[in-house]
Amino acid sequence: MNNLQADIKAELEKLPLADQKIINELLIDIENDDASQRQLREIVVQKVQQMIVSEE
Amino acid sequence: MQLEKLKISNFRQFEGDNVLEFGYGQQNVTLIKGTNGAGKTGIFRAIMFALYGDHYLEQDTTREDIHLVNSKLLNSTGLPMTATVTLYFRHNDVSYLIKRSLTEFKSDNKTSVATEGAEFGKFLADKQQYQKITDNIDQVRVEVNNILPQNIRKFFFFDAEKLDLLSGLQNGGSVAKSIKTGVFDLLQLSNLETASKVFNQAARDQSKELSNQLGDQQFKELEDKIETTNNDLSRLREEKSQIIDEIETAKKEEELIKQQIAQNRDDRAQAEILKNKEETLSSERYALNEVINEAIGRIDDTAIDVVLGSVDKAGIKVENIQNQRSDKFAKAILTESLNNKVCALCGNDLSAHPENEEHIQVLLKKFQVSEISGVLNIVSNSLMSANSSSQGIQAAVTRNYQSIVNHEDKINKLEHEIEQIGSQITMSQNELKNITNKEQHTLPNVQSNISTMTEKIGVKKDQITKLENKLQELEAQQEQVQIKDNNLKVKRDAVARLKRIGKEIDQIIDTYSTYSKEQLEKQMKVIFNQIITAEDRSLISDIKISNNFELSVIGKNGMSILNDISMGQSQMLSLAFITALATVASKGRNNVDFPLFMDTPFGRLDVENRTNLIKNIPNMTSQWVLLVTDTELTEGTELPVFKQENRVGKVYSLNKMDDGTTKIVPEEI
Repeated sequence: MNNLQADIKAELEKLPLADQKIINELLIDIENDDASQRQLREIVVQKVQQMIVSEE
Repeated sequence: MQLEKLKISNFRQFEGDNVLEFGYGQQNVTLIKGTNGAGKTGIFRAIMFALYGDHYLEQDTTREDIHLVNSKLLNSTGLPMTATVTLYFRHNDVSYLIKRSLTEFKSDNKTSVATEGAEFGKFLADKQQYQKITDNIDQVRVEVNNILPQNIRKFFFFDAEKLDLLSGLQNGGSVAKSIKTGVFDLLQLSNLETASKVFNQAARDQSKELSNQLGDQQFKELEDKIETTNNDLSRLREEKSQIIDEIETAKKEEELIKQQIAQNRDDRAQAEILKNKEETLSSERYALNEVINEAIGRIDDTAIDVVLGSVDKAGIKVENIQNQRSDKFAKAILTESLNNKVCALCGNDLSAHPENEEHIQVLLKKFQVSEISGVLNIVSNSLMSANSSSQGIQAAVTRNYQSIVNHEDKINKLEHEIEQIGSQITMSQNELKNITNKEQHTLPNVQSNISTMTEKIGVKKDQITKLENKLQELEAQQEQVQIKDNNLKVKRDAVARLKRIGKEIDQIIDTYSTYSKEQLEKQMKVIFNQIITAEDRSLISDIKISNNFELSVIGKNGMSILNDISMGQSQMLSLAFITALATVASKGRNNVDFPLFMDTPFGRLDVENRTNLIKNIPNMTSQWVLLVTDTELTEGTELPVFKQENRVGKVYSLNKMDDGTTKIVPEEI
């Protein structure tokens, strides 16, 4: 990881923990490149909904 | 990332075990020499295989013919053979090892892959203890990607002759995409950008779905309004972005005109002096003409001088006659002298000189008035008058002549000065006129346009702020709509959350994209100026990267010359871009944290470019590994510079023993 990436990562770490978790998981999925954009959208919607339910 | 050692076994033409180490620190240059076909690209291939498991390089055209296991062994033994490549490297003060192997076998004259393996591990503090992290090929890929992502490797490991990073340079089309992709890939903003799209699109999809499922008229209306507002916002943001680009272009033009005005200030001052001198010269020529005309007008008057010689002779004759005559003195003078006993003319005392008194008495006795005396007086007076007039004419002619000489001197002097000033002015008259025109007309117009566009930006900003507030209000209203169904409530909250995360990501991208663009432009200029030739430096005045990541190379005339640059210049530009990109990524560090691995680096470059690279690249990167042919590393040109710079840590020669065997032999520089 280069220095600027580290800065960007630090910016992400300023976000709420729940948001960070979902973003990082999505970034890994994007990096692995084995899901379509549509599948990625379905995954994040599902995760966000689960997160909201669990928060309640 | 710092390469330490490469072990190659039965890989490509490297039969048996071969090892090479890489220079680092102050001796961070590694030279790997080899003739064509000796296996330089085999080293490149071994590194790419070790790091990413690549069987092919981007430059490979005939993929089916590339096999990684040593073909000589494969053919001679008829048994499955294994090629192994182990790369040792350091990253963030930790030493790592990555090892890949590939077993191939030959059957019916066809070579096939049997198995492939990978291992990734690290050395503990004392470097004696090795700890395997994983031998799962997928996991190894993830580990390596964390260090040097696969999509950015092309910036650090490349065949310089085929360096096509800025391949769009010749047609202008894909340069912006290359630059933007480069920045976004290296900073991993690309993935973040994809993430933003996923969240924002998911939010829109969910919102529509919710609206349809809810069937609530108020919610639907709000949804429609939100969609319209979002569309308006996108349009306004796009317009604002366009105006910002236009302002940037106008500012570039303004800066350029100012530069041209400043650069040519001397020429223009000289031109002003030249203009004044030319005006003076014109006046002098006019005055000379006047004097000449005056002199021509005197030609009639000077005719008297033609006869003046005989007039002079007549005057002498008349004077002689007058002198010889007895009536030379008036009678009253003679009488007065005798009466007073003192000569009235010379004051001589006649009492003391009786001989003189006697002479005067003789004169008085002989005295008689002659009729010719009057005539002689008239002739004498006329001659005196003519002589006086002639002297006046001569004086006037002398003055005319002197004036002509003076004017001619001044004219000669002015012409010489004008010639000298003219030779000091490097710009043509047209160019000077053009600059003056730019200063008087274009510059005020451009400045006025910038001012108008800045006002427009202000208006757009206000409109955007209003729409953003409206959107926020609409979304808040939508959130207030009573939803009884719990599932739909969750969906609505999910939409809000998805939107929020999308915005958070957009903000990070926006900040770092702008920052990176500015830094990249700055660094690229510095590096490009260090590595190009003095001649190119005089041709290229600036490099710009716009907000849309469009690259412009500006010539000295202020025009874009991106489409006119040579292949060599394009390669230097690409190198400057790569190095600048890595410098930006390594923010704050003195050099780039990645090795620069170049195959055939100097092929297209002239001597000055080569020298500049040899002198500068070792200071810009943590390591520079060069795969060079004998024509790229000559005793006469490159080697003396390498020796003088003293940055070469390791030198190897690829000795081709036969078609299937190359040995890597260490050498001294």
